[in-house]
Amino acid sequence: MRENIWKNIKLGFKTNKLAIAGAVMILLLALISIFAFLYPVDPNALSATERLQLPTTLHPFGTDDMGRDYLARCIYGGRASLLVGFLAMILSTVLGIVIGSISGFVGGAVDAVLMRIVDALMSLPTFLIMIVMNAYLKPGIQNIVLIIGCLTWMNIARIVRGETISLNEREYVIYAKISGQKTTATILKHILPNIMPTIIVAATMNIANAILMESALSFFGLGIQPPTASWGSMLSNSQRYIQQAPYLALFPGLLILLTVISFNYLGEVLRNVFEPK
Amino acid sequence: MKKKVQTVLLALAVSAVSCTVGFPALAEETASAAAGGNIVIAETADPQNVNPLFVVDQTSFDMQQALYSPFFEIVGGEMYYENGLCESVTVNDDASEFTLKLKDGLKWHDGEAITADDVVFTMEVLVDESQNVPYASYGYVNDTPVTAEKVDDLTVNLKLGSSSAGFLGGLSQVYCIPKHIYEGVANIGESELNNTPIGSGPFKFEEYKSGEYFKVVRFDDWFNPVNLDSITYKIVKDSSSANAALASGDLDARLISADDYAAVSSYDNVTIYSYNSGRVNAMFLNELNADLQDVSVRQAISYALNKEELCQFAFISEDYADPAYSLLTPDTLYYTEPENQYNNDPVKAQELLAQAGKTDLSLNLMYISTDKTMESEALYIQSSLANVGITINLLPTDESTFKNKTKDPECTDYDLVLSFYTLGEEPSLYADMCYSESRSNYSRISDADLDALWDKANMTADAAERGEIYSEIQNKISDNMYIYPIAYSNGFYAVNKKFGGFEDCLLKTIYYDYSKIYLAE
Amino acid sequence: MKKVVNRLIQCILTMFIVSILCFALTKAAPGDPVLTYVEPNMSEEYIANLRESMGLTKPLYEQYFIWLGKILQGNFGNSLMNNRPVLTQIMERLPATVILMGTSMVLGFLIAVLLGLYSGKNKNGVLDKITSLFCYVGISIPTFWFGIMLIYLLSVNLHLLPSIGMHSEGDRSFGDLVLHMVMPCAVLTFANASQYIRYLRSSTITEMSSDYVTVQTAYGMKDSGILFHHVLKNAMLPMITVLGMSLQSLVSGAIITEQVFAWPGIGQLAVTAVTQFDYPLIMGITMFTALLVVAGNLLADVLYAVFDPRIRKGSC
Repeated sequence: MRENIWKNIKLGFKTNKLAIAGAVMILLLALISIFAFLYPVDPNALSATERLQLPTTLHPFGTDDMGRDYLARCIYGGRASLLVGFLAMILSTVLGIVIGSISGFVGGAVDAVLMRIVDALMSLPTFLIMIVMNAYLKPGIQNIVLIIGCLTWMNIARIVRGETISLNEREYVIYAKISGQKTTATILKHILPNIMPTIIVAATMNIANAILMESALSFFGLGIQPPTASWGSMLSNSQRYIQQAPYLALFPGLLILLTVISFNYLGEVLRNVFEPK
Repeated sequence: MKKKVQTVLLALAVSAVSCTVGFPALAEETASAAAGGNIVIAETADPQNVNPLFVVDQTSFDMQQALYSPFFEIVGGEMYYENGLCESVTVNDDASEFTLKLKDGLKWHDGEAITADDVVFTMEVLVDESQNVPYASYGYVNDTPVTAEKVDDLTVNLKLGSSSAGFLGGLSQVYCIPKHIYEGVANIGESELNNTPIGSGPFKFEEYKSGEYFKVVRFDDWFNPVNLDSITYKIVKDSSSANAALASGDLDARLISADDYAAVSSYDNVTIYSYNSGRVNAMFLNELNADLQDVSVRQAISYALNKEELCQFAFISEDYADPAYSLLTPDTLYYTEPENQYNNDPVKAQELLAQAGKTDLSLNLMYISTDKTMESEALYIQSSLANVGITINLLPTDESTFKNKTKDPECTDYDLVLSFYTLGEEPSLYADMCYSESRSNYSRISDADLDALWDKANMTADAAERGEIYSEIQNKISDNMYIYPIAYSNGFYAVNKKFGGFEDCLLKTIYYDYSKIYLAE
Repeated sequence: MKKVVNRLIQCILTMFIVSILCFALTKAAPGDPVLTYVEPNMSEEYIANLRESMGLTKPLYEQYFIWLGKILQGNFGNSLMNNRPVLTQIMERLPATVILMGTSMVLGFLIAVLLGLYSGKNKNGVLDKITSLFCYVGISIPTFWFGIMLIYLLSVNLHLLPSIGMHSEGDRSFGDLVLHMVMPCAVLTFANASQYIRYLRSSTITEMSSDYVTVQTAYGMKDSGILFHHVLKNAMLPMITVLGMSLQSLVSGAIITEQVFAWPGIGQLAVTAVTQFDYPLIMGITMFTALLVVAGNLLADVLYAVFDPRIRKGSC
């Protein structure tokens, strides 16, 4: 089984050029973020005279409203955003898969209780939760990941559960249940591989969601704290200068778009791995 | 003492002359003048309560000024009666008795006459504990309520428990409410009558659609001519789209901030009026923090900052704000520039810190996260103080948590906090910012001598003496660096070119006489 | 029948739990809600009296039970900010939100069915590539940016559409409403459609490799016939879940879009309520939201059985 997966992955990469592009892109973004310190410009250097300048050779991405070099801020911002995006996505996806699949597979009272909890959590005002959590947790990447992860797993849980329920009636699942195979094993072997495509779609959306949520959080002072840069806070900050300096939103926006696209292309490979042909 | 009465009388003489235009003989004059028209003014939130005695938010305050007329205004230190209900206000020798004389022929929006009974009623409600009026303090002098006595249908005598030179400053912010509407109402603040206000101002209430707009139409029986047919206050929260709406013509007027200036000035259908907003932007140093109790530390912080540069960085251009050295504004009566201006001297700052033994300080600086100006101030302060060895942790906070923390006298979450206030021309109203145990005393100053000075100044009627005491107050605050004033910022009103009269409308700071606006085309 | 009753009891129980959680959250925010309304020159007595008139001096559990008692009688209480009845305020804003969100959901769904199915069928074809790019942008684009860009382009520069708000001055006609709705609806539909298309396309791809499709094609059934009669039904599953979850947005609105376009919806009201810690209003809106969440997910569960006969004969 193991060799099969690796074989399939390699095959996936060979046939799907986009997947390679995706992997390369993500690797590139990650490397740039890690080695950000190699870029000589200080992303936090304020300058009253160089505000809102269009891109020039001195400032390839221009400057923001406080005169800080935008390219530097984009590079350093990648760290916070990529971390938040991926970690929050992993947290919410794992939580969602676990709860959703168990709920759908086991059914009955367990399903009812779990789904009513999901209903309850989905009804609570997100903004209120953010403010309260922010009051009790010190701002920082871990807590932001926690907040965003906890606010977004419910959607995945519902979707996974829905798919699981439909798979419940497939012959091989019924067979597995009858033959006494353990729940966990069944879920891992039979259910998950078949809902992988949907999970990938959901996970991709969650990355974008996570980064954009961080943007919303920072708009209310709850996200990554200034002066640290993050694509999300740069986006929310760009709002007031949309007319004078549209590039302030363009650069972080494009970077987010790239991240989302590349992750999705990578995901396509996974789909090919698990897809029963 | 005599000088005070003379000043008041002189002011009266001046205003009597200038007021004859808008005076009694109304019928013909109040017939709709000029071109009519409707102006759409942007507000950032829904109004909470437009009853003038219970207004606590800016939006309601803006609307209140269209719906109600004040007794009088104090503009440039002088009594101003043009848009007021009063014809004159006389003061007795020791400023303990004030006589208000109403103009003749005044009407409420429903046609009833405005008389001394309404004034007396308003003053009674003001100090009535069961009504719980937010600014009841304007009706008290030294904990004694002011008594209002009707002399005749147009004259009211206000008797204070003791002298109060600043009384008129507070009274100018008390607006009259109709007795025939609110008499007998147990809880005026929560009454449904406030949803259909009957006022005394140039415009009367027409319609309110939650989240959309609040509309008022011209009151034809107002004592002066009113030009516009109506005003629509449109509720638009987002400043970027409000600017766009201004450009596209869906909004006609809005207050803009310094950051918007560059963008909005490029619109060719808009004029920007710059005015003195009366706002003081300042940093408060929380003395609940042991490190900040040492005056040398506070002074060091002041020396470490270059105020001109800070102003320029935060307010974008020197045209938009002036560096501030006193907690009062230059327009406030008895304003003086403190002697010690703490010119930027990082070396001295470091010396002071070394002497105090606090060379490695770490302080929290709190500010409102959505306020761009505060963020700029904070970032600049952070980098300047880093140069003298003080590490600043930024605490951007959402607005309501910010209000919560700053109004909590025991809060130690912040060491330094950025804030702003607009309190007007009467200096005694600034006492709250540094009086012991006041909630608005963000620096948590506890200086009995300072408190005594504030009290004394308010009791003194002689102008020269008052001036000296306030000068002492301002110097004391500066020498002790209790509060670090940053800037007096300008306000900007962006108005569609088809409307005129805004220079006359903006009486001062946030006080408007909407009757002056007209459609120019 | 028993199942229906069972589910209804669960729903009521859930809403009850939501009310407790929401109340706890509102009160958990540290600080004194009264202080949001305090300005300089206000006396301590005033503040104390205000606190009492807002009912904030009573012990927490008592405040909750008073609220609960009123709700069971249909009284949602009065908002702390402006003392107007909560229910009235919600009802005032509800139509605006329902119109906007409802239209965007329906439009998004229709677009998704067309684009999602066809791009899934012809995977990696031209249509698929274009649609996928469209979706990536739709998922990644911040709504406020897109909204403002549209306003500047279509309203300020081209003068084609009104920039903000729901109606023009003094004009409450349907035509005027439609004009105002074009941009906010476009923004929301773009975001919704992108999501729906991704799920639908993914499921369609999975379904296309199923046996029954091969069989049907072999029998000579037209492509579109297979697509819409058979594939759609099976591919709808995750879509149903997503639609069910989206139902709540009919009452919770789209906070950012409403703010950018000054659309007088519930989203705006909710944000104001939270920032002012106006707990009666927060609770009122949350209860409405909870009702729709519970209803939406219930509807989704019911529809699973309708669309997938395999589930129908199973449990659930």
